[in-house]
Order: sequence, then structure tokens, then C-alpha cells
Amino acid sequence: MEFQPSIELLDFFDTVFIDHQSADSDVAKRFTQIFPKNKIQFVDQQPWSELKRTLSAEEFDRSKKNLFITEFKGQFFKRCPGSSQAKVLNCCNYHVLNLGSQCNMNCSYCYLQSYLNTPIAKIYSNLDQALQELTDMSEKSAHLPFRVGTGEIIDSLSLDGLTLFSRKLIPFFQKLPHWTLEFKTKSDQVDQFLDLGPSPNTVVSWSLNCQEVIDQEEHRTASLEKRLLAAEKCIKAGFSVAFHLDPLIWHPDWKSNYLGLVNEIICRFTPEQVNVISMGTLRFQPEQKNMMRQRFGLSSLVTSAEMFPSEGAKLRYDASLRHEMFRTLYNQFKKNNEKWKIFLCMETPETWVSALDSQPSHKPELKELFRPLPKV
Amino acid sequence: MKRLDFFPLLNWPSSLPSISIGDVLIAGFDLNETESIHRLPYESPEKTSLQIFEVHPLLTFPEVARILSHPLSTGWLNKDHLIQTYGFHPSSDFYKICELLVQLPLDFQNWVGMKKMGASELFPLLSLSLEQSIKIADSIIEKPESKSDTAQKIEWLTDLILMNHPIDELLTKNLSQLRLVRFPETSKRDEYLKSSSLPWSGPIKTKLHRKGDTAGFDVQFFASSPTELLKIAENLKKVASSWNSNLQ
Repeated sequence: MEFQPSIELLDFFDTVFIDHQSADSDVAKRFTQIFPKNKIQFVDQQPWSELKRTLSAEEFDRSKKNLFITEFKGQFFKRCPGSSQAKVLNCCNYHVLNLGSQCNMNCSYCYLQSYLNTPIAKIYSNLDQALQELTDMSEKSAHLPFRVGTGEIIDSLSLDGLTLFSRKLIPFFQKLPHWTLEFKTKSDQVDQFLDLGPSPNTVVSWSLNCQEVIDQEEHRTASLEKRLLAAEKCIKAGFSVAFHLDPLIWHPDWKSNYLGLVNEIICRFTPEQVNVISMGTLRFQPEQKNMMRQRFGLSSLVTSAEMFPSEGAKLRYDASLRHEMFRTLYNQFKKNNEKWKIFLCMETPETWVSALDSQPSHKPELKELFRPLPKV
Repeated sequence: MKRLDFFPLLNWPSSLPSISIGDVLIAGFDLNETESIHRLPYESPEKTSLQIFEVHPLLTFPEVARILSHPLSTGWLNKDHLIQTYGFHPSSDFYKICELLVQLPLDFQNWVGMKKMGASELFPLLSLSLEQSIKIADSIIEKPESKSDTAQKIEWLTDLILMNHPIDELLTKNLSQLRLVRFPETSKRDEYLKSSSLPWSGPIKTKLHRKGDTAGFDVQFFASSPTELLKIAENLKKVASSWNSNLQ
């Protein structure tokens, strides 16, 4: 029997629009089966397509509640945006495979607020074309350690109970043992693919935060406990897991709350079980501030944060505070066990040296991750 | 004759006739009844925005806002087209800020126009009430500052008002005082660094300076011989080591 998504998830969406051209796709057929009939509409063009401009706060909110199933016309497989700033940021060879855009969760700091200008969430119906692109790539590069993530502009798993894309991606990557498929999520949606394990080159990764920050800033996401329980399930089923302590958000009790988070990880997992841990502090584009202010007011730890212009034109905390946050968490992990593999996400070489005493290429446990790969 | 009077910043040259598009006057609003009017034909909402641009090629953002919010313009001209013709980007927030701007004191609108402030520099005001925005606008007109300082002031004032700081108290503060209130933790850190007794000595002059997300020292010295330079270098080494141990 096919996996049944939660009623809560089905209820969340106002309408699922299906492009007539995608009507015969597997994903469209599944949506017509699982959603009530009154929520499905077949259309010839993208709803609200006349809105070809920066979204307002209200338009952005509406875009979360409506889904459009359509074909993706461009190239699926791309390098992570961090690589385009390789002169100023250390790049960890992450590649992205976008199978949709927008997110049903609602984090106050979400960069999609300044990135997306489409007035509706999208799910792409031509997954087979994406897999064909990967097949073509693999003919030249199956031996290289590519990391491919699906969670750049959509949470990898929060809607996977609807799309079941994981059930096609995991078997595909099982045939490419040097490549790594990385799901990145703040949900606990893993039950739909656990039976496909063991699959050590599928890394299911969670963005983690202390529960205090989750409560205040990561709306409609799974609790910390639920995320960690889902990670334990994945390990048991033979998948790899990774954690992203990102974004670390300053608040008066940040030290004790984040040390508590690190201790929770240390108590429940071993360095051998966790593929890698990345850390990043809060950062966003200055243009995003206006929408965040309108959507979340100033009671949020994010909108009220003390942010300054920094490398890559993003706003970040004062560098010395960032270094202190990184050092505090890093030392706690390393005090427990030198084998924890920890790296900083989208940070400058100066921060690496100042916070962790050396560049990633000089850390034996991270060398492989940061080895430059040929461009695709 | 209907009048699309948007209170242009520049006076219409008296040597030129007033201009209308169809029966809507768009330039030379001071004309008396006996003067002739140069009448352009009304063709379409898109053409109308181009005709306005041809007659008034240098309108500022508040002037465009006043045209957009004039009751005559609805349906008569293509608003998105007009906005793009003047090089702005139409968005819901752009329309909202135009609606707000025209309700603020005319002196403020004109100041925004003269300083060529962009719509996005006023976007923070969208999170405030009209009454709060008017108070900010009045205070800006009372003590005009540079365009960039004003944009910064609007942003910090908006943040602080939304953080429940009393607006009347905030409006008495200058930009550096507002910075201390908006960035209390960073100000503390900077102050700590400034007051940390680093062993600078001799002819070395220092000033704490913030550049974006980093704070540090501008260091200045004068050396008249290699020996003096070596002495300074020795001192700098000591300072670096002391600074480093302060960080641990």
C-alpha cells in the first residue's frame, strides 16, 4: 500500500494547481489521488502569472499555501550558490538538484523571502529528466565524490510524503556509490523511504536548533526531539545522517541553550554515526529585512538582531561574536571526541582561522569535503 | 478641464503653453482661463504614461507617487507602465509606499524628491502606523541630514519603535545615539575593546573603528629611523599578544 501523508499536511494547502501538460506525470496522478477533489484544479498556465515582480509579504504568505505542479524547463543540476563566492568563502563542493520551490514551513530568517519571486509553491513533474541529467553526468564523473542536495529552495522532505521523490532518488544513487545524495530538512518526514535502506550514500540531514529558537523562529517545523528521533530511525534503517547547526541565533541564553543542543547530540549519537556537522550563524540579504519586518515584526530574534554588512553582501553578526559562537560549540564537540567532523557553512577563511584555528583544507577529517572538483 | 495636478517640484516655464491629454491638464497648472492649451490626443492608458514622460522627463519618485494616487489616474493611465517608464520597479510594496508617501507632509515629500531617495529607502515605514510615519517625517524635515544618514535613521527608528521604544524619546536622538540603542550588545563589545588596556606606547596613535561586521584599530605611527621602527614593531607584538589573551 502506498504511503499516506498526514491529514495536517493535506489540510495546509488551499489549492493544488496542475498544469495540463503535467497531468500524466506520476506526481500529478498521486496528488489527484491523495488530495480531496475540491482542492485540485487543472490549469493551462501558472496561477497569478501576471505578478512578475518582487512579492509583497501577503503574496509571499499566499505562495506557501498554493501548489503548482509543472515541468521545470531549465537545468536541474547546479553548484551550490556558495561556490560563486569561492574567492571570499570556503566552498564545500555541494551541488543542488531543485525539484520544486517554496516551503510549507515558515522560518523567520528563511532566505527564500528575498530569493523567490514566483507567486506559488512549485513541484516539478519531470523528475525523470532530472535523473537523466544525473545519468549523463555520471558517465563522466561517477568516480568523483559529488554531494548532491535537494534542499536548496525547498525543504527536501517536508513534502516528500506527498511527492515520494525520495523513493526514486535513493535507488538511483544506490547505483553511484561515490556520489552522495543529501536530503536537508527541518521536518520528521522519513517513514516514506525507510524501507529502501540500507543506503549509506544517502545522507539525511537536519537543520537543528535549540528548542527555544525553534519555538520562536522556526514556525511549523518539527520539534528538536522529533528531528532527533527521525535521525535515529534513519541510522537504524542504514542511512547516513548529518546535522546543520545553522543558523545559530544569538539570544541572551545562547551559550547554555546551544551547549545543551551539542550535549544532546553527543549523548545520542557517535562521531561515526554522523557524516558531518556544519555550523553557520544567522545571515541574510539586506533586501530581506523589509519583508521579515512586515511578516514577523520586531519581537523576532532575527529581525531584532544586531547585523552588519559583511562578505558576500550579506548581513551577519559582529565577526568576534560569530567566532565566539563557533569556538564555543566546536570546542564542546571536540572535547567530547576529536573525531566529530565539523565545518563552517558559507564562512570566510578569516573566520575559519580565527574560530577554529585553521583552514578546512588543513583539517584531515575535512580535506576530502573541500577538495576542488571539476566544474559541471 | 480636469486637472491632474501632482504639485510638480519645478515650475512650468511661463513661455510654454499648458498641456493636456484629452481633457486632462497635465502641465502648466497655473494657467488662467484665457490662455491657450496645447492639447495632446488621448489614445490609450499605455500611450498616456509615455506622453506624461515626454512632457515631464525628470519627475522624482514622490511626484510619480502623486500622479499614481491622483483619482484621475485610475483607468486613465497604465500605472505599471508609468512606473517602469520612470525607471522604478512596480511591486505591491512600491504602490503601498506611494500611498503612504502622499499622506506625509508635502515638505517631506519634496525633500525626498530633491534628495532623490528611492522607494526602498522608505519601505521600513510600511511597518508603522501613519501617525508614527508622520512624526518621523516631521523630525526629518526639522533637522535635515544627508540622504544616506536619513535612510539609516528611518530604518533604525522603525526597528526601535517596533521594539517598543517610545517614539518621542527616539526622535530626540541623533544617528550615533540611535546606533547605541539599536546595537546595544555590539556597542558593549566595541566599548570593551576600546577600554581594554592594550599596552600601546611611544609614538603609536590608535582609534577604534568599525567596518561592517568587524571592529578594529586604525593604527598610525611615525618612524624616523630603522631603530625606531623596530621599537614600534616590538611594541605592536606586545599589543597583539595582549589582545590575543584578552580574547581567550
